[in-house]
Amino acid sequence: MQKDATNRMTFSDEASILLAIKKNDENTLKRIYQDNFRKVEVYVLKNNGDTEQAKDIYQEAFVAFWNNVKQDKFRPTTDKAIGGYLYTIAKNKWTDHLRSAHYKKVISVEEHNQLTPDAAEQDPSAEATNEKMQQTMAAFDQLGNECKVLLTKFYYGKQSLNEIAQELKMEPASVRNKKYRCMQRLRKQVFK
Amino acid sequence: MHAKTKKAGFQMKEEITQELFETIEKYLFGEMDTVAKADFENQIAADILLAEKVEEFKILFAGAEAAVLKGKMDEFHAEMVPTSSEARIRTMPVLRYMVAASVALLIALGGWWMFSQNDPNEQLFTQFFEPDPGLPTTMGINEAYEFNRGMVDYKSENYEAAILKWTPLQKVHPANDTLGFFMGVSLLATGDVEKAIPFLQTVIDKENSTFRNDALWYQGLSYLRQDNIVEARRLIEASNHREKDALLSNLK
Repeated sequence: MQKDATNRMTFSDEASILLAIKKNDENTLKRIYQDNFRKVEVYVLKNNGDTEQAKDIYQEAFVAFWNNVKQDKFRPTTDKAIGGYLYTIAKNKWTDHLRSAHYKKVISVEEHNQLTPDAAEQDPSAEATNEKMQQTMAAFDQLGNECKVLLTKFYYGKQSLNEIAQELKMEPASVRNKKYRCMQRLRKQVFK
Repeated sequence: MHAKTKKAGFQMKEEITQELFETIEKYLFGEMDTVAKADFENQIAADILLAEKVEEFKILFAGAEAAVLKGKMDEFHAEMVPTSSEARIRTMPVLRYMVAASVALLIALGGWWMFSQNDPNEQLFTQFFEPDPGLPTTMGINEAYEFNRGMVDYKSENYEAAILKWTPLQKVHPANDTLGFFMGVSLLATGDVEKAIPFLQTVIDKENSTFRNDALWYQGLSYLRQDNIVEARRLIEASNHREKDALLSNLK
């Protein structure tokens, strides 16, 4: 991506970037996403992957990064810290992928020195949570349009019930009730 | 007896009330005051089922947000200027299709995919056949170097070139299962099923080969292409490929 000074905030203020990420500020997320993809892509391409795989791994890493910021597990202070963090997660995920069952036979046929980084540092409970997250994401896509719109506005867009009620021309109480029902539906899909 | 039934009922995933849902929501979004928060945390500590529900919703809220983020990320991605490699990958399927179509029409190289619209086994083959991703091409010396050069071709889906590079090596090392496997898959990818079968068979015959399981799958597909359903089913059943069940349920 080209540098475009007019379009970007500076991260001089740690609180502002954290806040922007937490409230899913579109420009902030876009800038972080676009600024850091190429480096990961180069890494994956150099290590037996293709561009599509680079995109998948990068997006997984991006979700992990974003989630960790939301949970205050990662508090970046600079652009560079964010870039390094995304790169490390993506690299570890890619190493895991290469070590996975599909690639196992590789290890026995060829000795490779390029695949020795510290990928085993992830804890198993995080893996289980991650799996449920993935299931939730898939289940969300299967929800009806009304639920998707409402949940998107409330949980992702951080809009208030009143705002949403106005936009959807509904009573706030119905919005609130519908939100509950939609989440209940999602829960039944993921945690049977 | 009555109490027991009730308890069993409780162990199923029961609905939660709107009130409890909103309490959990408030808690997880940090919207409780200190007193309410401490009180709720005490309840969580004393009630394992409540604790479980809170954990569930923590994931559900994060997952719902992440699902929206996924869509946004795809938008962000689409806006980026593609690199030359991406541009190449995007245009390749179209090119490949055009090449395949013209080859089929002009030379009728066996012409097998021409009929794939009508033949259910051909359709299944096309649906389930995906060449193995291949091996990392680390540069070695001598023969390993020749093998790797073929692997570069293989991974760029230039199977004919890979076969040309590997054939002399394979003659020197007829029992090598790595070579046998990739020769077999390459031949299958080019549509030369008859030649693919003996290569895959040498891998299958080698009991301890790391490629044996995948070879069973590809050999099953070979027989499927030849309409030998009995043999196809036997081999696919013997493999433990992730799409095994899907393919078996489609075999008639």
